Amino acid sequence: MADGIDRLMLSAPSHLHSPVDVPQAMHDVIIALIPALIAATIFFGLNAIFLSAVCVLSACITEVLVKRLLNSPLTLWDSSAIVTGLLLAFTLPPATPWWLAAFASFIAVALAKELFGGIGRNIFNPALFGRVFIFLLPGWKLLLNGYIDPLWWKGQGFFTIINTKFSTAGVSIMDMAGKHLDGIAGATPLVIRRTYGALAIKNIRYVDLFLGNIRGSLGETSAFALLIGAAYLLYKGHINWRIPGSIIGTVAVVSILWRQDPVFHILAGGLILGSFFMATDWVTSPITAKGQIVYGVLIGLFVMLMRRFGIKPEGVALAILHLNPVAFFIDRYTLPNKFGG
Amino acid sequence: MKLMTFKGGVHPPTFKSQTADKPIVLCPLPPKISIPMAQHIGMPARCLVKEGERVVAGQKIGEADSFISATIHSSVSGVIESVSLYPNFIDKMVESVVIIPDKEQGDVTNQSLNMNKALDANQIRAAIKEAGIVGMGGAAFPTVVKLSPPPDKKIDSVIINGCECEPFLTCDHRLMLERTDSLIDGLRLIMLCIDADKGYIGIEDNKPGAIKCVTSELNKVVPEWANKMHIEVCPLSTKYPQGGEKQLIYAILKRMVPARRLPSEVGALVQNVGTTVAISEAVRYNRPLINRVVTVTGPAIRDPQNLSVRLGTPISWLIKICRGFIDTPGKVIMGGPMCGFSISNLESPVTKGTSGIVALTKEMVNMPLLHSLPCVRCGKCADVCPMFLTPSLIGYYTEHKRFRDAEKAGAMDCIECGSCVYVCPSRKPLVQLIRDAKGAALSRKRN
Repeated sequence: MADGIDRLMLSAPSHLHSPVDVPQAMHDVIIALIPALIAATIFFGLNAIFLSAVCVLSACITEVLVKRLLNSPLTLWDSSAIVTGLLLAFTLPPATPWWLAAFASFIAVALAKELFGGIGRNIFNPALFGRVFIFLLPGWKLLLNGYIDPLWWKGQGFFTIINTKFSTAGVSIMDMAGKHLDGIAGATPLVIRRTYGALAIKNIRYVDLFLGNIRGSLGETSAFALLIGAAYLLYKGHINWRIPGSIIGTVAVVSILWRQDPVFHILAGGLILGSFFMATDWVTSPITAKGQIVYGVLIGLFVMLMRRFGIKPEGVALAILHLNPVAFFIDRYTLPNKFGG
Repeated sequence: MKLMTFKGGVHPPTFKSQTADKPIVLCPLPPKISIPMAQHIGMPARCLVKEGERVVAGQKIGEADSFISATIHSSVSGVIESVSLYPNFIDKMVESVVIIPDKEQGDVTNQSLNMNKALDANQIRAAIKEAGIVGMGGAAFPTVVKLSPPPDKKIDSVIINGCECEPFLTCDHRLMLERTDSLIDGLRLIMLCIDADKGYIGIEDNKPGAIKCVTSELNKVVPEWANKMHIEVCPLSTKYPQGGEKQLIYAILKRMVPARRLPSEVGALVQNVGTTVAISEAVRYNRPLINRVVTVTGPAIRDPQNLSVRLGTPISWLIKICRGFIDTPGKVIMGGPMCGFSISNLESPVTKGTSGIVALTKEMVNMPLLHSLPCVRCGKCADVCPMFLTPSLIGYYTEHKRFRDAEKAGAMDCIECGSCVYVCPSRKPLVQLIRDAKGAALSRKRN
């Protein structure tokens, strides 16, 4: 053809595309998680970055291995494995042994994501699936005792890498060299509240709950840092208010009805991390506007039921995992009325 | 002031600055003109001329034999080289008249007619039919059919679509600035023709010049017939697809056209700017539709322009007049980039519905079919769909050959605006999938 045109592409419209594609959205989620990673590093030391790196690396290696095994094209470029690894690390107790974190990440990518067909086809949120999976293993005591104090490193050194092991005393938190780090772990505020009642948490200040100066999972404690990231995602349009708003609203309403402190319920545990970063996961949440509100309300109810009646008070992960497979069906019953009937 | 708008939609970059300030210029005659007998929705016109015959500009060369059809006129004076089948812009073979134009062309406008003569509805309709006018926004539906609503449907409001919500295009913008008097006259003629007493000119707020120009022209001419007709300019927010017929009616009148019904159902009628100007020229000057304004633009074009083009001019000639390609084009689009056709044959002619030629560079063209990921269920498509459908769900059904479910999910209501494709982070070809579902539904009904 004239003028050096060799080929003109033909396709259905539209011929323009928004610059936002899946990899870019994933990069934005990673950016949104950075404030929480910084907060985790401040409170739990360099070990936070070490654990996150282990999870991300394990997730990426797993994805490559599985794709090789299945002889299908590599999809590492979509960056979703990095997001899965980071989110998984955020849900783990800060003193989780590195090999268990790597295993959880392997389960998350291999079982929850790739086994179902890869990105877009998973039914369960991979990160939460990985976390809950390792809590069901015989070694769960390793994890449960891993809730170390914020700023514990002041006595032990910022660069200490933690290695939790079984010992004669049950479970011991050690550093890599095998030196015991005793007396740095304890119960999370939610466990304290459940075990000893509302009076026992009277001395926990809201400002500590908000900034993250409490015991808890790696990336869940600092509501402040998480909300900065959430604001970024909202601004970028990757998430909207419907799911997090209805989860937090429901939790607030239920706790008021039960005459419990709503602020405590919102800031303690993984509610902020769960509602803004886990429940809003594109693949496993409903896509209709009405459906997203239904989904959020159901998760909120489930969280409160778990916290009051469940075996373990940390119900956010389980609540979201239980509602994940329902999302698809919520969509079916909440399709919008089309324009003009 | 609160701007009128609809729910849903997207905000693509408008890319209009390349041509927005460039006045319409006459496109020089090409060495050859090819006029297809089918430039409109409906039955192709019956060809009235033979090879070797001499025709003059404005002479009727195709007769509309059925109600939904349009007459075709020669756009130039010249000699007919051949009458045969040629591929049109979607590579369908269409009977076309190829004319070698004379060097000198006369003016077909009959200035002797009295501009202000009193007209009745039937005279207006006859003039529009005779001039072969069709919707010039792209759909090319015969205008006279639109102006002959069934007697039980009373249309009270006429809307002129001056949104031009498609990125890159500026032909309607320029017409509103340069042909303001004909635009308002055309609107009055339409209102006279269907006995409507309210007229609206909807313009997106990214064209403040056009809003100002049309408003001041209205203030100048209104008094003589203000007691019989109410005409106002409606500024609309800049959002795609603001100019979608149903979206525009909702934005201005707050009336919702029922699913798969025509605007006459809610007493409204929408006309494109170019069509309205053409109606004025046809009725006042007996001028058939033989030329139109085409915006030739895009980052791959060296000198983008708004050209007044004789119908039948090859697209390659327009590109040549705009000094060719500056960059290797990856896609050439007839119409706007949001819902226009990508074309492969640059020799295909400009027809009545050609509003623009947009050439995108190789870098701007990604390969949606090759690079698409599975749906990640982000829900952005459902958020932006101006028809409140869930495109990803229809796409899912189509991919699994569940065409009945796709139809139930609203595939037939899709206006193919392309908003869902624009936002999809997985780059899924959703409009293509929905078209497939429509095709399957139609063929099932036929059998």
